[in-house]
Amino acid sequence: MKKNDRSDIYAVVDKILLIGVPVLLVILWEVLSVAGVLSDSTMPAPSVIFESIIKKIQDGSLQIDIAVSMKRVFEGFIIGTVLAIIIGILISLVRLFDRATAVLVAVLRPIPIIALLPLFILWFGIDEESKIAVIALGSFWPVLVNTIQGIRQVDKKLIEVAQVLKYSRVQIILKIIIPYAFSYIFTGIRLGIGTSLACVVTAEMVAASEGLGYMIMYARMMSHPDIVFAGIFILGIIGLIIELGMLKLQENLFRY
Amino acid sequence: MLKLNHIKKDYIIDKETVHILEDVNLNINEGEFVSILGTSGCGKSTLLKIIIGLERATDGYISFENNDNNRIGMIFQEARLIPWKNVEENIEFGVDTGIDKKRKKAIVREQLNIVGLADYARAKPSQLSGGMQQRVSIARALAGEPKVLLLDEPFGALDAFTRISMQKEVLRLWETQKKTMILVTHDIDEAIFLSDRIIILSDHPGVIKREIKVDLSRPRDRSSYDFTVIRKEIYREFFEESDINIEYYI
Repeated sequence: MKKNDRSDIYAVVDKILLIGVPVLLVILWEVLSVAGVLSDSTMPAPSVIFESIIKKIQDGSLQIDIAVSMKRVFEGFIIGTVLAIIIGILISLVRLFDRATAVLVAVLRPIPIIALLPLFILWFGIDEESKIAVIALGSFWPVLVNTIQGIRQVDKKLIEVAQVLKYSRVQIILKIIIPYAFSYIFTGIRLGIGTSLACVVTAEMVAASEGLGYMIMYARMMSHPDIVFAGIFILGIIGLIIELGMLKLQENLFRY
Repeated sequence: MLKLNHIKKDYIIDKETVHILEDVNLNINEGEFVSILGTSGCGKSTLLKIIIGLERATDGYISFENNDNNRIGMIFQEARLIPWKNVEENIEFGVDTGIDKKRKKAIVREQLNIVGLADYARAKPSQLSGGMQQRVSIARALAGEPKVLLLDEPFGALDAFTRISMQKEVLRLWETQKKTMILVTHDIDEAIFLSDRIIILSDHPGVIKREIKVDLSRPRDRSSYDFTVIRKEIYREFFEESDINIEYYI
């Protein structure tokens, strides 16, 4: 057999595994549901789940829930990221600031963000503010850590080049240090979006009247397992789209 | 042009003082090509860093004629290009920030032509060979229009063939651009090939051991008799045996 034929076969096998396995699992699930092996109240058939997604799209409620959740993620994420970048730059460039915050960061960062939700509700009320605060904090930590990391990793040799060319300290920060750290910061942003998504769902499950987290929680209470699955599935798709988009963006931004 | 007066540099390593440079006095004339030759760790790179202000001398001072301390460029062993900027933008980084955009573009264009990289203006550093990267870094240094160019083992990281062609290139630049150049190297042939004067630095601590004038016409032939005589003279400074075969060179 020629080498070329063999790699062709590998490519085909690759595709079969890639798409075939998930499709097969869904078919198996459907068959087992129809056959009555899986209970409707815990594992509704994929076709039923799909139907309820269509129904929720038709009556417009799914779009609203998605939009509400995404708006919260966006707002919280922007606040958290901007704060994290500013504070991260200060921590890594100003020694006094680093010393002043070192213990605070070390103590606060390991706290699971969800544990703070009740506190935030106490502080900011049951409305939007407490949810956005949780989401902001969710994206804050990964961006902060990566910003600090990126700035500390900056190539000292490039800074020397800029010094030799008589650039001022501020210019060096703007032209070398921050651009250098940007690829790290971007990784933080990618991780931060993921955390934000987790935070929004939890926050909406605890206290909300709209949003994907609320939709899933409410469906469980109303004994609509198909809608519970629908919500989970939609979250998976949203997460995937964001991740792929960010990876693509990263590839284009840092092509060097 | 510039004068080093009693330059001394100590480092403190593990609470112990290490003398890196001891009473270095050197006068460099305008348009001169001077090499500082020494073994690695003798403090020759530190000397360049002190001249350009990246490090402070423990004692002594440097005097510049008519404020030329702001007109020094430096080329490092590595090209040290900014990875996210293309060739053109990297060279532009060397131009004075005060200069207007149009003039900047013209300087960049000129430098690209001088180092022969006009076709690579938009290439990223990672797409270039080591020699080409080093040429970009030379262009970046020249774009700042320095009067003095410091070269810190600029060809040390290049292969032998590229090194020789880069040496010719620097010689050409020195002849056409009329810059004062100070080269730090541990390559004896390189020093003889390029310099008007070779300063031999001893190590621990770095003191000027000898100064050798190279009175040969350029371009120099590495296998000529006069070249070999100077090579032998320098060898004697580094190795005790006086009977080293004259034909032997690195």
